[in-house]
Amino acid sequence: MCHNLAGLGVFEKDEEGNAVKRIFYVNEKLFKASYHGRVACTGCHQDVKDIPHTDVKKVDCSSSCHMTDPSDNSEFTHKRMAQDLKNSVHGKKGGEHDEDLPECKDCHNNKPYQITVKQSLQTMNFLKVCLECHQSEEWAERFYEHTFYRASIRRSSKDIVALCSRCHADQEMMQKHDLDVVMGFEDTFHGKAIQYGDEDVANCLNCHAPYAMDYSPHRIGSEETPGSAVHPDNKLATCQQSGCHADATEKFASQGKVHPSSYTFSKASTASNDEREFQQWVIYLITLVYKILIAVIVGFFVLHRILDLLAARREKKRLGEV
Amino acid sequence: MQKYPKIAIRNGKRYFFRFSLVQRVQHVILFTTVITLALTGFPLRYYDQPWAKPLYEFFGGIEVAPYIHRITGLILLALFLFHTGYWIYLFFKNRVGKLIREKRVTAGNLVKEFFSQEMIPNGKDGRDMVDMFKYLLYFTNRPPRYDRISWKEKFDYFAPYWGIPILGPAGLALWYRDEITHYVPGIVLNAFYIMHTDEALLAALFLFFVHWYNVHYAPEKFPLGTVFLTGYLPEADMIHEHYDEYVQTMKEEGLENEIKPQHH
Repeated sequence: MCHNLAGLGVFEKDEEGNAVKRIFYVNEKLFKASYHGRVACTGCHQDVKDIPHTDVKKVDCSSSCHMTDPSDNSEFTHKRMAQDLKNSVHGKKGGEHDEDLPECKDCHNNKPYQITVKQSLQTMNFLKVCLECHQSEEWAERFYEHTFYRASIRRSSKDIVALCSRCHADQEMMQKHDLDVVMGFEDTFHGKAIQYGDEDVANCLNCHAPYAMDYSPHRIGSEETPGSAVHPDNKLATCQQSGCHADATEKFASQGKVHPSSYTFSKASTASNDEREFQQWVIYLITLVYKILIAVIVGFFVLHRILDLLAARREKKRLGEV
Repeated sequence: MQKYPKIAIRNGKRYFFRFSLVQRVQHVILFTTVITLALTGFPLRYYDQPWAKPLYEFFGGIEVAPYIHRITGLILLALFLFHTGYWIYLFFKNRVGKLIREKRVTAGNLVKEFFSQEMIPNGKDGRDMVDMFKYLLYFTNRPPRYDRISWKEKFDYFAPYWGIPILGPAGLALWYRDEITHYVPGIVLNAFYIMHTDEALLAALFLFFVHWYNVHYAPEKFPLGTVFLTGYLPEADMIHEHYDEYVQTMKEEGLENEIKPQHH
């Protein structure tokens, strides 16, 4: 009603006292095409009863949204995933710096279903088949888009790396939580191939919570969580999944570095930490040796060349004078 | 094998024999494989540079370029093995054979023969290098008189001869990354990954700044020296770069009276 007016919003003060505009405009067309396009506003914003309204609460994704789950006619809700997240390593446990931990909306937004032109051309007849039985064209189109979008378009590996890096590559934040800063992934073949658009190499989630092995990002665990994909007991199976590193050994899984982080903040000096430090030292040493080799050899010859040119000039001069 | 005259005369100018056909063909294979390897490898190292993506796409992108890189690598490794065999063959043919005929085969003589091969660095190279810097730093006006292979050329020669045994096995290990961990710890893969790309950078920079200077951009060579194609070096370059050998060859060919001075 009001929210379809472009420009609707209020000015508020942020934590530093700067004025920021909060936009309340909702593009109806985009919203209708989105994941939640069939949910009424009050399905999520449940405390809104009157118009106009003030102090609307934040949306709780685990609430029931007055929709029917077509699979079993129960009331639809994301409660289970919210519960999974809470139990996962990302769950808020009432500890210090809880505000850093991710919520639903940190990873998910309400995107429109948009399949590519190529995909829609390939699957167009499918919609016609739906319409042979299903009367409502709007419903059929939505079902078709939902199915094909979900089946074909997943988050790209590039996006996943960027998403996880937002926190895990943030040195300050990781230090607060006594975690390793994830570094060096972009220097490995996995990281580089992803930047070249290869979707067959592993991104963060393919190792840390692969659906292929019945893990889920919502139930993600750390290497210390028993039963997680990156726990020492399961690492090898994770590397071997889907034929990626089928012939890999325990040595491959436990000692190879997928992201050789160079900053470690873990305070405990355990056997595995000592080993890790040794490995980082080896990598550091090799890198350093090559830096020196390159600088010395190339520098030496470049210097030699410059002197050589000067000598040639000197020779010419000398001959000219003689 | 075809006999190459030590001095060839074309258009009244003297040219001095340096490289046989077998050697020149090896060099062509070496530089085509190395350039291909660099072009299909460095876009990965510098994936975030603007030139990297178009270059990689030219070689078929992430789906194809790695295979081109690996096959080219295998060709280069094969060349390395062939060259080593070639070297051993020449050593036995020219050196050990002579010792056998003269019945002087002792460990000492073998070692002596080995180190007197033209490619092996020796004491004269050290002295030449010092002399060169004396000349470059204005201590003397007399540049060193190089023999058949100067210390700079030995650097050029041993750069790939040192680089390939590092790049090749490291590359193979990364290719067969799963299998290799049956024998070595996984951290070796990380180490090889760094060594492969850093060694490649060293090789590329060396080729670009040192070798290409010697044969392409040096004022007297520009745009390119032709010895790698013809096998023969012009007299002026011979005097400039290999004066000792020049004098010796002229003497051997009975042209003692026509020897030109190193300096004008």
